[in-house]
Amino acid sequence: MAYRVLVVDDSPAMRSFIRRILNLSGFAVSEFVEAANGLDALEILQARSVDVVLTDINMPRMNGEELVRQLDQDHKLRTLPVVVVSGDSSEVRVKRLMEIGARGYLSKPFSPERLRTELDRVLGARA
Amino acid sequence: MTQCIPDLLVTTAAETLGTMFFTPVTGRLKGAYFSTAANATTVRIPFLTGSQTNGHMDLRVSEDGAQWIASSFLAIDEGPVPEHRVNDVICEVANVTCGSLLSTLFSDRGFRLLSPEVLRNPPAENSESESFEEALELERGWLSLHLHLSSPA
Repeated sequence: MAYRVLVVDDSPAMRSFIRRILNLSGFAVSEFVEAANGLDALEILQARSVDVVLTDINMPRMNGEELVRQLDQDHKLRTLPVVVVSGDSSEVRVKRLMEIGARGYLSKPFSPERLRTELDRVLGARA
Repeated sequence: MTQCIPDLLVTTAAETLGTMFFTPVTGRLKGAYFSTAANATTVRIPFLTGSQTNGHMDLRVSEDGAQWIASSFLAIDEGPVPEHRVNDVICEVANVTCGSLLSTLFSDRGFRLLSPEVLRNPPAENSESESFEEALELERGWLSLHLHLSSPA
């Protein structure tokens, strides 16, 4: 099965990197959709479906934490798995994000294998 | 805690560069040359650990090192990477390194990184801050890290 992936990050370089290492990891992607912040991501998700969201935390306009909160409050989108990808892996941050609805957390730096493992875990748990 | 910071700077930067930026670190360098060297890119990331700014990290990388890191990260095999794209990538290196470092130092109380900024000139330092400096040899060029804390970690 191939998955539709939405990557939310204000850095074009990081979005490009994630696309590349998804390919390197062997994770099957049918569509790769990009957004530069949480607000853009919400607009995209109102118009089309994806299977999983990978989001950064620190972004302009709407950060990743607010995106997770908004998705969790949307009855149509609350089952959509969100994996937070961030350099901030402090205990307090991870705990708060999981409490408000994130399904997974991937701390930077990460390898293709770790990304694949986390996506498999989150999407496996959903199925 | 501050005793472990120099080693933590080295291991965090090496892991970041090796894992996500496909740039192995080949050694640890000594000397203050790296603080003032010309032809280097400097990125500064301020951070908060409460209601007040209590530090920043400066990452400096030589011109050839910056090109090497950017071309590896972006998978660009031919020709020089344009300066604005190099700067974007070096900001990411600083962001990931600083985030990973602070996640270890301030895991129980949290922190917030502010936006990275490319500095045009080597920065003047506040002598009142506690600072730590380490420099790394890359396959091409060098990279140095300067962590400044306004209060002990």
